[in-house]
Amino acid sequence: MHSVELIDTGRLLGWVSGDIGGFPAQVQLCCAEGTVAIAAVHERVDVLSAGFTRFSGFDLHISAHAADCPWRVHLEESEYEVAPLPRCNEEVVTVEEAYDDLLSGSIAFDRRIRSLCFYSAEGSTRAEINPFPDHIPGPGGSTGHRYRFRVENFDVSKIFAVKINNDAVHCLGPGWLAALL
Amino acid sequence: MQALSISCLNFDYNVRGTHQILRYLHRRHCGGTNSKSQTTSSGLLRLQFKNTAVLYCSSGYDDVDGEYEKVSSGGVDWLVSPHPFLDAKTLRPIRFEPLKLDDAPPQSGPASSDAPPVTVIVPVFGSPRYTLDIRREIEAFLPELKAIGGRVVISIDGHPVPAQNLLHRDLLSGLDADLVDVHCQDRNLGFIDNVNFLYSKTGSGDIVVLLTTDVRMQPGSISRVIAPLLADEKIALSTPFAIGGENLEAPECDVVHWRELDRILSWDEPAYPDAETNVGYMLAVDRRKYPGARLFDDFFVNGYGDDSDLYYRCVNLGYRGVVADNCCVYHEHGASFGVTELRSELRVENHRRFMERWGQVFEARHAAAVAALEKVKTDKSRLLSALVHSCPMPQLVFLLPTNDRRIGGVAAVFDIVEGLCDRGLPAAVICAATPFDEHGLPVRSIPADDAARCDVILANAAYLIATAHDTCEPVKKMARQHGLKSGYFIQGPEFSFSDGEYLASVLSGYAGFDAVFVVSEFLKEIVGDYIDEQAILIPYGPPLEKYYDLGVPREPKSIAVQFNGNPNKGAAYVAGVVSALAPLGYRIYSFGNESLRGRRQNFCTHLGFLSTAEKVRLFNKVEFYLDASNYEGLGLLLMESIRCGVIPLYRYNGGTAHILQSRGVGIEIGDYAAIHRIRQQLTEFRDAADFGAERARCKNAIADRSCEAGVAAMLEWWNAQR
Repeated sequence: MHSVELIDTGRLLGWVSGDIGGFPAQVQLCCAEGTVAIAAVHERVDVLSAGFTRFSGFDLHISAHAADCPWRVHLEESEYEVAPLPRCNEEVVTVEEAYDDLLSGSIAFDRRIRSLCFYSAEGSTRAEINPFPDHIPGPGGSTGHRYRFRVENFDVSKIFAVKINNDAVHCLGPGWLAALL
Repeated sequence: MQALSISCLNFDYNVRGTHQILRYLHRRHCGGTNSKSQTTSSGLLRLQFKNTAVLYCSSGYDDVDGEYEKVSSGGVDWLVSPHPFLDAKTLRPIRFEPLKLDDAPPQSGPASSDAPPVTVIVPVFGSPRYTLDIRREIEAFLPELKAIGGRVVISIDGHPVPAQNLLHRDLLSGLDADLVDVHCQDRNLGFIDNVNFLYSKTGSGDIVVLLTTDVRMQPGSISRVIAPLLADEKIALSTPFAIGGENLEAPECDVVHWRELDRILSWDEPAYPDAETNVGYMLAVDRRKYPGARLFDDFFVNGYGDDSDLYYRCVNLGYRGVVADNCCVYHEHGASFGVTELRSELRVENHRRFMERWGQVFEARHAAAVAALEKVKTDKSRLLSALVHSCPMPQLVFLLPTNDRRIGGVAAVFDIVEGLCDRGLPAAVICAATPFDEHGLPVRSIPADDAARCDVILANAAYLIATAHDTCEPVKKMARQHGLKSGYFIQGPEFSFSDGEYLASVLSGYAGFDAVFVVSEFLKEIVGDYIDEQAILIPYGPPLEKYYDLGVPREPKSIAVQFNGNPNKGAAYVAGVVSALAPLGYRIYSFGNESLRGRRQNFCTHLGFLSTAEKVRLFNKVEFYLDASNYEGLGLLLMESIRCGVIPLYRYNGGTAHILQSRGVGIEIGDYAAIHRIRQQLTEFRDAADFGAERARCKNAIADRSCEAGVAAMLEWWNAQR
């Protein structure tokens, strides 16, 4: 069971119930390069009281390096299309080191980052993350958070997207790292 | 009228704390079916605080006189006074006897006919030591389980060395087949799949208790852990507190042994706070509520995070996971990971996987839940520490110069004390210095500078026992002050320590004890001339099955040696051996001093300080162990290596060497001038010897040496005293 409560440019809001084992449901976001899975884990007491799972909500922020990269969203048997918010890659990810099997740099987000995953055509990897201890608010007085990240033992050449928590996904595009490698 | 007193001298009086203690004592007296507590229902009970005293009597205070203030709280009245409470008839101070809280945890009765079946599932892998331990636990709780209609299912996970599976099976053989099923896996499933296999063997209406092999518990623990599942339809998971319980660590308190801590908690009213999250060392799951076919998700890699994931999945389904806060077990950690090198890597990877799935949920809930749990723990801490002096008082008290358990002789004393407590003889350790963090250990020391506590303990003990030459005089003095008998637990030829610097004080210190204990025949002979009565032999050694032979192929021409730069441990001799053997292609693995790591890599592979698991791994890799010490009261490393199947190369230097030489096993090497002969001895041995047979002979030579045998000898002596 699911419900989409808002679809807007760069935003998808709603809920989808988890299964009988208590596993949160996955929202599948597909683009030309591959699929990103996001767990719907926002607390929805109204959904629980309706007989479904407590952590069912999602409020996804969807962006891409270009506006012409629509994401198709699969929720159970239904499909929705979401236009991403255009953001240049450098706004999201700053690369410090890039080798065939290693990527490090920093990433900014408006909330605490608990989890950071990079997706490539061949799979996904979870990055090591550490907050900047002396983070200075960004341009415009942003009060966001900045973290160092590091990915090792992963073929980084085909990375096309990054997932932050289960809150946001950004499409970096297929040739994003090619110039740096 | 009966008048009993509790010493709460660590605390200042306050109303809330007093009410908590009185409520606890009332429950302890009135609750349970086997209570033999002395707590009075109509008699007088005094709580002696640091600054004042409280007097409680449920039938009123007509018989009490004196200057006091009457206090009422929560329907309970008591008197408060810094002065003696007087008998109203005689106007003399009332005489109080100490209240002893020594009754066992409450036992539950038989299960009702509509109670769900209980199945305890036990995944087994890794160290046989834990298998031996869990066997003892199962034997102990089977009667309780039988009473509630329960059973046990065990699965021995596949090991690459088939002999290991057979060993685990042998260690578990003979358990009551009507109540215990043992399965052996042909291949290695890993922790999660092994647990899920066990889970598949339970009924869909069962209460399942997952128990790892590194957990020890008190009677009634299973009943207490499943109680919240039976009491509340919204509770699906339950875990007890544990010493070594990670986020469910037992409340911090002055109680030094986990069993005492559990005894006190067992009579307290449970609050069942949210666990946030439950932990898998002992985890009760109500299958009537959690409907998943598999318990843990193999999204996680072989342990860590799987239990927290289960917790949030149950919360997701609208249930709670709680702490059975009236129960405490001991969790040693690492039964499945003891001989792998991947523990920290697994933790990191599984933490990332957990946060990928549940990061926001964790962030939204965790802090508030932890604060609520901490509040419960703070209340329990105060109660535990207030009642510590009413626990059974240690009869044997050891005085150690330090609590640093990395030192073999210090660890041995704690091993003996823990074993005595497990066997029902209360014992304790007072330490002059406490630099070592004892968090998560089953027995903790009492700092000597806590004079008030030490005084209470010594006032109730029977023996105070020295453990090193510099504790002899303090022990004799304190024993005199408190009217105790004195003992000396001798583990080494201390007159030779520090190049003989303490010769005079060591020799003069031997005399004047009521009992002298030695850990080897060698020591018994050398101290015999200086003591009045014969020393008592304590056949201490490594705990059974803690060090074990995996039966795997060994690296040819490999030798392990302790090398910490200490001349007394034969550093110069080791250097000579290395110089003699290196040209023949022998590889020397040295360990000990962490700071030497990498400094002798051209000659030795120096591994630094090794944990037990790391020693087991090394001793299963090499052919020989070199004991180069100048002297040893009892060479524990030599025994540990022999248990792992190593052939010992030993100097005739003391206790263990004496055992090996008298049995004609191992390879005795000569003094420094004979170093060059070691090449020939090893070559001849490697050409001619049957390694398997020699290993068996060496193991047999030390078979009667163990921590368990040492504890048994100590108990035999104690019982003879009485």
